[in-house]
Amino acid sequence: MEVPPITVFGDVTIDDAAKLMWEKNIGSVIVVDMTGQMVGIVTERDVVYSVSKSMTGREIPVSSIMSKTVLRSSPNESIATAVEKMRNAGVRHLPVVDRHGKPLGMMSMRDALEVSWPLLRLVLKSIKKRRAPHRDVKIRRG
Amino acid sequence: MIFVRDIMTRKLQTIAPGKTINQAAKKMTRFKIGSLIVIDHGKPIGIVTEGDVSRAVGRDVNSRRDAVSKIMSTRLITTTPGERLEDAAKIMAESSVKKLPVVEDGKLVGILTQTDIVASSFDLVTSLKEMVRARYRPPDFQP
Repeated sequence: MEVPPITVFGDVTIDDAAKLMWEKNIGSVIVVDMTGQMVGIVTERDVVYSVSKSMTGREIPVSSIMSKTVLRSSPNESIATAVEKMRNAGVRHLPVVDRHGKPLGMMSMRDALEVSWPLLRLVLKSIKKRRAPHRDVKIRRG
Repeated sequence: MIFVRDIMTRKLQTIAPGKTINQAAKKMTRFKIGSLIVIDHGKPIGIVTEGDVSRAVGRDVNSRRDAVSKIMSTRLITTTPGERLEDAAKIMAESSVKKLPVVEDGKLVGILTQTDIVASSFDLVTSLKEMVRARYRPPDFQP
């Protein structure tokens, strides 16, 4: 995951948030309040929505396009659970927060791909091995 | 063996290179998708993603005037339906793209996304775990 997470305040403009995402090469930013608590998330998808509604270039704050009911994860959660959460919600970014709601990092599908692709290779290899030469070997129980 | 055709997304939307960025954004929002294949005279010539649109905003591009061709990526890395999933995943991880258009006989037939691959590999691990659990019960404990 991206540590530390990139955060902005709600009054930052959509254009500046998009610029920040571009500069940092990331697909989302966490929106925090003055106490550092997460209040929302803005993703590339939200920026696309704002473009479709001609909201860019007009000093409109990110708070007007951010998702407020933010799906979140804790640092001890398994990657599989985090992926399941993102998949069910149809999103590609999952903020990781501590128990007080302070953002610790941002987990993305891109991060998951880095884990899942070697995992996929390993699983497919093990299936191949299991199938091929040992088919007739009996497993001794007990 | 798992192939690209088994997990690819068949829902695919296209756009002409002369359309504006604003029109592309509208289409992505309407169809709830993250990319559009740019087609010129029936031939795929590029891809425009939500990342490209977002970056355009950051670069002060005029979305109501400028064309999709200005921000699209012309480096179109494609795959085929018959390619092994692990090979497609490798291409995606190494070339750091999120989408691979799937082409068969010169025709676009689908798109393979990062989410498709990540979801299918975790599905595979889960079903393998269940398979192992069902087949090999632990031996009875004997003190």
